[in-house]
Amino acid sequence: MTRTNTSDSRFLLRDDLTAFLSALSERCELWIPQAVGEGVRFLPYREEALLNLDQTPPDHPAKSILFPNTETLFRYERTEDGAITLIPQETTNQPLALFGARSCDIRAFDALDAVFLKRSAPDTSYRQRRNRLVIIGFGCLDPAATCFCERMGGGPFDEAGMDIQMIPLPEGYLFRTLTDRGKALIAPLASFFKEADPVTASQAEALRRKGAPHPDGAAVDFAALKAAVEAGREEPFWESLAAVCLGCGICTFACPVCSCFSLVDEGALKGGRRIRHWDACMFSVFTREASGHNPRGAAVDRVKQRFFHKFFYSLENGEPPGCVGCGRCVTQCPTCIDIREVIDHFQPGEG
Amino acid sequence: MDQPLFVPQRMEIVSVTDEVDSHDILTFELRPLDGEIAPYLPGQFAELSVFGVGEATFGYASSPHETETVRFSVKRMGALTQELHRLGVGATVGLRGPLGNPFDLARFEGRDLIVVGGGYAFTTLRSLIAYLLTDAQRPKVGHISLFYGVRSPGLFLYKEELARWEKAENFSLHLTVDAADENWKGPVMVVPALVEKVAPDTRNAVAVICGPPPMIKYTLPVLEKLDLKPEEVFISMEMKMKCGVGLCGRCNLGPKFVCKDGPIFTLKELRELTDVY
Repeated sequence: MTRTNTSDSRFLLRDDLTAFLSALSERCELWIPQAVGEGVRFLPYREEALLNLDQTPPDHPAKSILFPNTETLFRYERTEDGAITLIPQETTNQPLALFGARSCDIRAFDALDAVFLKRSAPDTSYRQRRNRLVIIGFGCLDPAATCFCERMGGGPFDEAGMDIQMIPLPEGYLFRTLTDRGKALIAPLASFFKEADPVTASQAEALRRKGAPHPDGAAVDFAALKAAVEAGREEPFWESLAAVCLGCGICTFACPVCSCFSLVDEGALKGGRRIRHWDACMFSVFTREASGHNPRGAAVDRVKQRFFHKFFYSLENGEPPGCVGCGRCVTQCPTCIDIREVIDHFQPGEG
Repeated sequence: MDQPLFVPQRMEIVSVTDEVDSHDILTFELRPLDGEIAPYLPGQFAELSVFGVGEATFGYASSPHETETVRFSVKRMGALTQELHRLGVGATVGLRGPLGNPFDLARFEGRDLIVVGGGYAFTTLRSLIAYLLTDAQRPKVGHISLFYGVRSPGLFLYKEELARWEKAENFSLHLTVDAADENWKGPVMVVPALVEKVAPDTRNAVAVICGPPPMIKYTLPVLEKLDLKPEEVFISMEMKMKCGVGLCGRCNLGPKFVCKDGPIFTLKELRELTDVY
């Protein structure tokens, strides 16, 4: 991705945000964080959607824009003589814009890219969306008590992976354009912006410095964590987690990095479709074979799988660690399993 | 636009063979409706689709030298295999493959082979042996000892072929059953016990194993007792799979994926990975 030489900053008044999003939605497929029922999640823009930039982090991760909860991989049709026709997924070149995602969710895209683009044959439907994606990230003013992005090597104002970084200020938002792709996305909407005055610019810069990733100190030493987890494979500690885990899978669905899936058919005689949907290593049926044999039939093996994958297997395979510190699994686990305690157990004295 | 990763090749069923007395294993012979048969080697597998039901994983039972069609032997186990068994000649199924790594035949060259199989997983070993017995491949390996066990005599797969192999040169066939019938003259014992009893010459041998997890677990110590080195024991692993390309997350053995990095692992590799399988 081409980075512009100097980031170009423009200011959008708070009162103009609604009109800006409406205009942007006419130029691309736009996803925004919106209040739906009792939660906040990223969904395609609608005029009547309730934008929510305040909740840190939104309940659902932004990964669904690249890795949908459910997607149709192809359709099939069966004629009366039994012949089958396969109809591939429709594709488009329309830009796909993610608005208002925080740095944790955007850093998680590195881990998703490692799986879907680099691990083996590229996943064509993921790549198609990834190539269309333009990201307007959101500087994070008010990390939650459960946030720990800095320990995972990020920070609330980390701009990695963003095309535009949006910094919330009292009167509105400073848009820092970081890539040519970001520039192209908002260039036609120049009339919504005004020049950032020096006071605004310095306010934003102060926030950004304060919340940028710490150059040293705070972050977990992943190589040491990996070695400790690997050495502690048989520790009774895992049993203490397994004893309370309900196997509900919410930690994996809430996780911006988790990417396990299943492939299933939905169909009738005349036609149907093959679907990919999110799945979870925390379900006992995930690995159960048709014979009934289940290599991870015990809860402790599933709990180990989740954390080994995040802090041992990913790193062993040269992929990013499986956690960005968003804390969603911590807040959403019904039995209060806390990934930070796992990190602390294997890396005491940190953080 | 690339070929979409998860769209299968359409195949027509050209024959169906009922393999065993329990009538729950059928061999499907498939011919492509789109394109050609993608080149494969023994040990690799594919995802077969029954449209409207889904996909499941099967090792190629055919050998690469059988060029017109591919074959898969399928045991009726769950929803997909039940539906597949209902399909007859002329029906369309889907195939994604080959997937996974084949047996590293270069490492078998000049060596004797001890091949150990059990139950329905024997299909993959059929592909290997049929391939090695072709005129082009046979000179490359030495003596082949095949150990193959099933629950009862009527459950052996590929009975006619086994009868031919029994007469093949430089080939020993050791069949065993868990429970005999009135016609069975051979040994009645589990596969690891038979390997231990026969104690094949291992001085210049490599071993290949494919079977249910308990058979693998109990055969490995026997092979070690016979002085086979862990790097010379090749195991075809099976785990539940969906994607077949290392993405969906269920078939990992530690950091490796059976579908992408396997299914063939050496005992040495397996020991370093995990004992959860």
